Amino acid sequence: MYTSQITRQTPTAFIILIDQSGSMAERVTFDDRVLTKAEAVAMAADMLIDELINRSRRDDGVRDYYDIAVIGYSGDGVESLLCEEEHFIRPSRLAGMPCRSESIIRERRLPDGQIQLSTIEHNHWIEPKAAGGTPMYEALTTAYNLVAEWCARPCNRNSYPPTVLNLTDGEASDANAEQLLSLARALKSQSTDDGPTLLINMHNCRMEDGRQGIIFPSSIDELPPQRYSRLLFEMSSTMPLLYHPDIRAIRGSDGENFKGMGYNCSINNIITMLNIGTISISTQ
Amino acid sequence: MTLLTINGYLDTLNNPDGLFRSLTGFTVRRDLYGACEIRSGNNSVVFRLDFGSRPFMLKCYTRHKRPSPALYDYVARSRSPLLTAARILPQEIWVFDYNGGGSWHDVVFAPWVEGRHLSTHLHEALRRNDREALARLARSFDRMARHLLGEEFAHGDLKPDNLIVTPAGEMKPVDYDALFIPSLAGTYAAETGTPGYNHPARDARFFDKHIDDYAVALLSVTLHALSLDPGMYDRYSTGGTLFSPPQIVTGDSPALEHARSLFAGRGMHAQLRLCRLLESQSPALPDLGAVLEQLVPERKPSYSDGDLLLTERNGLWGYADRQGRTVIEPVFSRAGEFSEGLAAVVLHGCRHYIDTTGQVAINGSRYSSLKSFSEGMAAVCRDGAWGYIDRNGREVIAPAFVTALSFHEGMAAVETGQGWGYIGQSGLLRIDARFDRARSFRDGTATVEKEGRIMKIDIFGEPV
Repeated sequence: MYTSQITRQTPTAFIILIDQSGSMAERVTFDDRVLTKAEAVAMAADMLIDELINRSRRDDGVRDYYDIAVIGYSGDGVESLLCEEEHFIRPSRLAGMPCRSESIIRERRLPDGQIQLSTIEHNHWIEPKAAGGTPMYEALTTAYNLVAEWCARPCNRNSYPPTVLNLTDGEASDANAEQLLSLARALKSQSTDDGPTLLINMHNCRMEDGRQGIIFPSSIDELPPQRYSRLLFEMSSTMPLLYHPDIRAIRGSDGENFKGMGYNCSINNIITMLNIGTISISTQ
Repeated sequence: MTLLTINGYLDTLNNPDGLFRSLTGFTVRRDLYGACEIRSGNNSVVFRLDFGSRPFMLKCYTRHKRPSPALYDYVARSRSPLLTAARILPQEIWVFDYNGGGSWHDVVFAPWVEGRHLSTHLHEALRRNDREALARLARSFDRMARHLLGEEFAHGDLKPDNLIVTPAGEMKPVDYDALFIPSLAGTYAAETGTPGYNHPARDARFFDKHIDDYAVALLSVTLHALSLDPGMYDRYSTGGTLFSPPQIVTGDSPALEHARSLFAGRGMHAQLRLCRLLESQSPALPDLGAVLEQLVPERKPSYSDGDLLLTERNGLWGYADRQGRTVIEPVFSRAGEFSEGLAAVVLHGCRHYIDTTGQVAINGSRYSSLKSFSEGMAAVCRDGAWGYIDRNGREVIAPAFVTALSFHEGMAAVETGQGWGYIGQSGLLRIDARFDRARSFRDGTATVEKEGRIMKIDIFGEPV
């Protein structure tokens, strides 16, 4: 299981769910800038999309190794954030799509100690938003439908299974724990011949918590004894072996049976988890 | 620790000042929209850096993988024309993280290999239904493969994305991270190639000169079959490859059966033998060499450097083999030993480099002095100043030095107006010209003299 190579004929699918509820208006510090959590998470998603496009670049252009969907959920409902008309977009189409680009000036300390002012061009694939409640159940239902349809396509039979990455800073406002757990099980049961769908849940920290983020725990005992952290643990997939070297490198420790979840994550943690959850998989 | 990403490297390449230890004075090749041109792979990303008119490849690693010093030391010393003079620049590039810090990382640096990947040529030819182009690719691949099997090393990850087709139509393997080299015999492989091009039984324990066998057979059959029936790619391909090795070894490959029928109908016996080899239960194919000899017959003997010895007759020089038989007639007024397949000679007052068939490979008539090739470059003198040319005769380092020695271990001792120092293959000084005398690097150190004191220095110019 989880051994299929990603090729143009057998792409894999990434579905990123982004919490755009009102609490995402809280401020955080990221890369020496003060942003709202919505802005920071959108930037993290932007960078991931850029990374996936760049990882698809070859001599002959951009190869379609991935079906990528980004879905936002807020008080306004659940919506596709990359394209209004459809959910999945491929890298070659993304590479040709116009997107808002912003010049960001940063002040950085060089290795020799000097300060450097540099400008980067940031592609805004996702527009940040923070409004209303947290319809996570509805978002996961959308993900379930997408995954079920994707896995049912004959051309995807042998593909590396889909990965759903859910970024949230709070609890669902449209379902209880039992309903969420049941839906997560149903989502994870959708599979290709290479294995079941992976569900990775990333919980962004609240400012007032101020605790150290916990990513890819190998035991439920690593988490605080809180109902919500335990719920995310149960909902999340166990990460297959191919992710272990990167996970161990980031955690700086040994361990096994890592769960695809993060609790009280900083934006840096979220970027790390998004990267591990996507670019750890080999392309051919 | 932060995962290395292409985004991270792009950040550095777009704002390089202060973020490289030794590389300076370059521009990054960009596309029409101003974005850095990149070629990404499974474990790395490659940028093209132009130092004036000289292009180089910068390979940066993106996963938990780092270049092996042992492999790249071998590559740097190798005289095989199949290997480009790639070397590791340790701790060369700084990549920022999101905590305000960052870290230095190794890169691989090499002359740029002009051309496009076999994968690109293959798919373009398939789109055009161009059988002749596919046949040319097949012949070019077979020639390269025959040469590769005769080397003491093996590539380890042969596939269309790791083969460059040069403008002259020859194929050159790139990406040396899976190489088998003689010093690694008896060890386990760090990489086991790409599954779609390898025998299902290949694992880390299988690590010797035969690790390319199956991929060679598979790619040759693929190209020859597609040259006869390009449409079979759409009908049979799976996972991006025409054939599935697991299906082949279990005797359940409709694609291979179709290829067999194509070859049989045209009496292509060598290709039929390759089809049989692909059904082997072992990844090693001992009979592969004999099949390739059938596909690529030798036209004349080829000689390695030490096989040809200088011989003199009537005051003129030529070359003989070790049995004393004349191979290149004595027609040169002056001649040097062969090195990397080329020898400097003087013919009718003009200087040239000849190859082992005696043909002029590089016209050196504008130079007053030529030195032997080493690591793909040769020191040459023009208008009283020394510079370097590559194997194509291109002046890759313009004449600017008082004296110049040959490249060894990626560096060459040169004398400037300020004294002796060392340049890299980019032509830039890597060790300042501050010595009174200098000798070439050997095993990581060089002997220099300064103010009457003789000492050994390391590759950073520090006394050892």
